[in-house]
Amino acid sequence: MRRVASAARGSAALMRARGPRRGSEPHLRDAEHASSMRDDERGTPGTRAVFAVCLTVIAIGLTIMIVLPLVGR
Amino acid sequence: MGMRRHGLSIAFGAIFLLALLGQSFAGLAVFNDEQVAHGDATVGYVDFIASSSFLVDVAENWQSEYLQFFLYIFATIWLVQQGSPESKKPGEEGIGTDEQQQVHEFAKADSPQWAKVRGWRHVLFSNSLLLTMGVIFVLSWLAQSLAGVTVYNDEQLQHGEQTIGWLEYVASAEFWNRTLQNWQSEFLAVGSMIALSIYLRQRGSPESKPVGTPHGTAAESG
Repeated sequence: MRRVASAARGSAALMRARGPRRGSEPHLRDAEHASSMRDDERGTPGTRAVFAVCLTVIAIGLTIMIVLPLVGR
Repeated sequence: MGMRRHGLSIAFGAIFLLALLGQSFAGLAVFNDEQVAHGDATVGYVDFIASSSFLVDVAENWQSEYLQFFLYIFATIWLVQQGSPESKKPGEEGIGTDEQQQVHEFAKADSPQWAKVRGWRHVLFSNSLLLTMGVIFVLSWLAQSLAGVTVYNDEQLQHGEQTIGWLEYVASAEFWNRTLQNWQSEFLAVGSMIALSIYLRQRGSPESKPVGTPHGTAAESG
């Protein structure tokens, strides 16, 4: 157990010496996760596009279905 | 990666368009068969998809689907079903506290702006899903009635009978037959989903409880 803990400490020390790798340390992974959660909650361009396309299709469909019978089709 | 993030919307958008396309070709074939049987001229594809005959069939299905979701969203605020993942837990009925809903002073930094404010914008945003489903339901039901009265009057003329106005049509057995045959199936499907999901599971689907969840336990979320 001690050897494992020591190896882990050694590894962490080596990592610090080389400089942190992106996402390789827990606090960095947490920060990345939090950042991605914020993106999801804000709405990425992709989620906005899905929402806009959905509403547009429905709006066009309803307009066609209401207007055409009114003009006597 | 981008497509994978939106796979559910894209898949349903695609099968919606394919089904609508299929409905249009099958509907054209049926329509022209009837035209021939009556000794009338057949119509082309574009004329058919712009006709009330096609539109009434599309609209009557749209209205029932949006009514289903409208009622489902509304009913699940106030009613619960013990053991169903579609329901909140007994005792959680109602619109929830500001803290639970993360609004006003309980809003997070990333919360939508209209969750933080007070007044009409907050009321509108807090009910926007229900309102949108309701508006689409009402408009597609209106569309069904407008296209339906045109189709009904065409048939009346073909049989040498008197045409009727819109108000008369929405009170007619024809309109309610078209409407209720769709509603009954939606209500059965929603009711089945609520009841069957108490004891049945689908591993991996958020519409189901996790496989090992006890039968009497509702979903954690909701």
